[in-house]
Amino acid sequence: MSKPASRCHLEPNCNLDRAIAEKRVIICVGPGGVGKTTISAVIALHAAMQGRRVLVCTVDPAKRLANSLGVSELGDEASEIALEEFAALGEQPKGSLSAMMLDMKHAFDRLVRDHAPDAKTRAEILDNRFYKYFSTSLAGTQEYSAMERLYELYETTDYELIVLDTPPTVHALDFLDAPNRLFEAIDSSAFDWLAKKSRIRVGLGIIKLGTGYVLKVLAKLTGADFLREFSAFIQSFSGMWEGFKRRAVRTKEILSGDDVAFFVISGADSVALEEARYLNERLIEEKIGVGGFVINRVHQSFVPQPVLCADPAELVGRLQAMGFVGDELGDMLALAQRLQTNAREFHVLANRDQAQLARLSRSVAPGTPIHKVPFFSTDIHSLVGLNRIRSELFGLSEELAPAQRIPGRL
Amino acid sequence: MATLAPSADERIDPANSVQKLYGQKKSASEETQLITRSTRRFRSRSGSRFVTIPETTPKLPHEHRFVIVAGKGGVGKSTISMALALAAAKAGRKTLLYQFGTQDSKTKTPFSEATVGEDIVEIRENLFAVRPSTESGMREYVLLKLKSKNAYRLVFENSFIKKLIDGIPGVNELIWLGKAFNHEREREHDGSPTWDTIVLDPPATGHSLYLFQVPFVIREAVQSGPFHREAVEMIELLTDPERTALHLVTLPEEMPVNECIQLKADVDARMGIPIKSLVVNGVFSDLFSESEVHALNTLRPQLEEDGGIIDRLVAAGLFRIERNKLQRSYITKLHNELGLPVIEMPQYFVPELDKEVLADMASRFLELPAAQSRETA
Repeated sequence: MSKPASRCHLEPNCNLDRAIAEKRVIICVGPGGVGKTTISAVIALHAAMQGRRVLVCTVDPAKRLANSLGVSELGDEASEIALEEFAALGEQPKGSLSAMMLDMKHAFDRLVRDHAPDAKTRAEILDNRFYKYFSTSLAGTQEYSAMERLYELYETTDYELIVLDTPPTVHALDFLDAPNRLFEAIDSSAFDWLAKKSRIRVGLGIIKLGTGYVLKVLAKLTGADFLREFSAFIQSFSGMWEGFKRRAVRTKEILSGDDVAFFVISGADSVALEEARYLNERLIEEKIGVGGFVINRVHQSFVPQPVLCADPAELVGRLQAMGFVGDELGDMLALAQRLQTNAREFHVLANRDQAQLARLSRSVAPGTPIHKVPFFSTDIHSLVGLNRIRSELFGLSEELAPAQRIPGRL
Repeated sequence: MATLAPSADERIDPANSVQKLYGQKKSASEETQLITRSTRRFRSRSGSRFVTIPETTPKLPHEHRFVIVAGKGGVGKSTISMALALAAAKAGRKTLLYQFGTQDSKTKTPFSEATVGEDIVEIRENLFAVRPSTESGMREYVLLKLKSKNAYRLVFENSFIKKLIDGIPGVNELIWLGKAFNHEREREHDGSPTWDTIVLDPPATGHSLYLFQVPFVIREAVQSGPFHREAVEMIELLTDPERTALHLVTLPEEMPVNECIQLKADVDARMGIPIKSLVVNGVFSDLFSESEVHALNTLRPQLEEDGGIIDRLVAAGLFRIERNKLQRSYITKLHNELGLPVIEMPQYFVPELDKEVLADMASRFLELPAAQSRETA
């Protein structure tokens, strides 16, 4: 297993190219709906083409990514992706790519199965109503599950590079915070008595004086029934905390290790970027290496400003020169104007995105790589599509390609 | 109570009136359901007597009391909730925009310079906003229930308990939800509700609606006590089609569309919160006529990578045409699979979200019946 040197840990200049060559884990984080899954796949694909043995773990349950990777379905086990297609495109893949879908729903279940002291406890927990809700639905549990899986893959597999796509977060760093908060709570004395309480009845007086009062107040608020159910739930977990804790500590170590790089994936809109900036700051605070940003779906301006104000009549002449035959001159003029309107509208979006990106680069450490991927007119459904993004991401990472390109064919 | 009495029209065929309003074909079983529900009794505003009103009184998205805006992150959920709140305020309803804030996050809205934080502020005529923090929400809730500041201080400000509560996943969200319910229950001296409309903009974590499952879980897990009663009341509100309306928000793109379809299935199966409409954000307007689309497409093979001005203009046009076509196919899919009234919001070509954009969006909610019946015709 190769553990590459950690030259760019915490340096702001660890761009994607270096991360792909040097790191063992790349974690893609960012707000929802920005294309994290796709970007993760592209990063993994590029690393594989460059010669590394790569595993990409996605959390996207849709089959789309599977389809674009050329397999019918991705499961909880890694499956190898055929890259022969690239040979046909004139590029011989130097490494290999495997992909898997993280089963978030059952990640917690697996944890329980691994750590439950006996079958009875295991069944009790898995059947508990609170548990069912906690383990699948609450903020933080998905993030926690993703980190759990990363731990497993890191410790037990020998991929040279693991690219991890993470669930969208609302509290930017829930995937780090949730385990921490959970374990702080477990460590607290309050938890302790709540865990023990189910063995005794509320108000029986075995518990210390202060605690009795606390329980009384809590019971008044929630009802004794609720408190009993809830502490039974915590009680059933109590045999497993040690195992949980050990893993949480180890996971945190892995994340702050210097063979891990985080990339913040975002859209170019202000809401997403604000979250991305916050995420970046928090990662730096936690002393976790941020490689840089990937900004997806950046609008392009197709034409330079003066053309937007050009005389449409002149454009009609050029349309005709292209062999465009309109029924009437009036129609042609209207079309020329509409083409201008359209280009002007894209120009507004492109300017908006540029302004946002400029704000971003002002607000991060100088030299922080900001990679850009343009907004395409079609969706990605194939390896070729992923490859198109790849060439944008790794070929032209500093400046957006001037928009002479024929639009959007992936 | 004149305003609550059903008009002659509405009484004739409530199912049909829905169809008229939203242009949806209802199945036979849905019709039966609507008719049965239409005789449900609701407490009148004064709270003193019951009146019978038809459930199908056509209501616009902002005309319910408890309006929930849901969707994945990045689809413009917060924008839509602001637009809905504005629509309600413009219609003369006293409206509360209820946002989710993380610890000490404050924000401004395009409406005014007022900072929205944990205290309710007026941001426009009839329109108020709040972004409760966990701590204030918790204190408010506990004091309301316990009526003892001492107990709150001793128990909830105790560092052990604090840690415990912080460690329970989702507790922030739960407190946020509980406070929203309290606002719904707020009454003036004369017994009328303090808020005509409360627009909830829930956190966009995973499916934001998992949060609304909490009362259902509690109701099942505990059979009695204050939490049980609270949960039952919450569920009554959440599933009451007269007071509560859920609006899904999505983008006309592959992933958001699929997730939206999944979200609706989840809500229907697990919660039964009445979903009243689907808002599709960022729809590119059709700029080119059919013949123009055809003509531009025939130019495609001639376009050159480094072409001149006209090549680029045509390329931009073709880009728009392709996106439009893709968006249309997703909107059609949503129509076919969800059977919900679809409200399209255009892509706005502006440097940033401003008052004008929100006003335009709000007007689309306010003019909905006209637009929808045009579509039906």
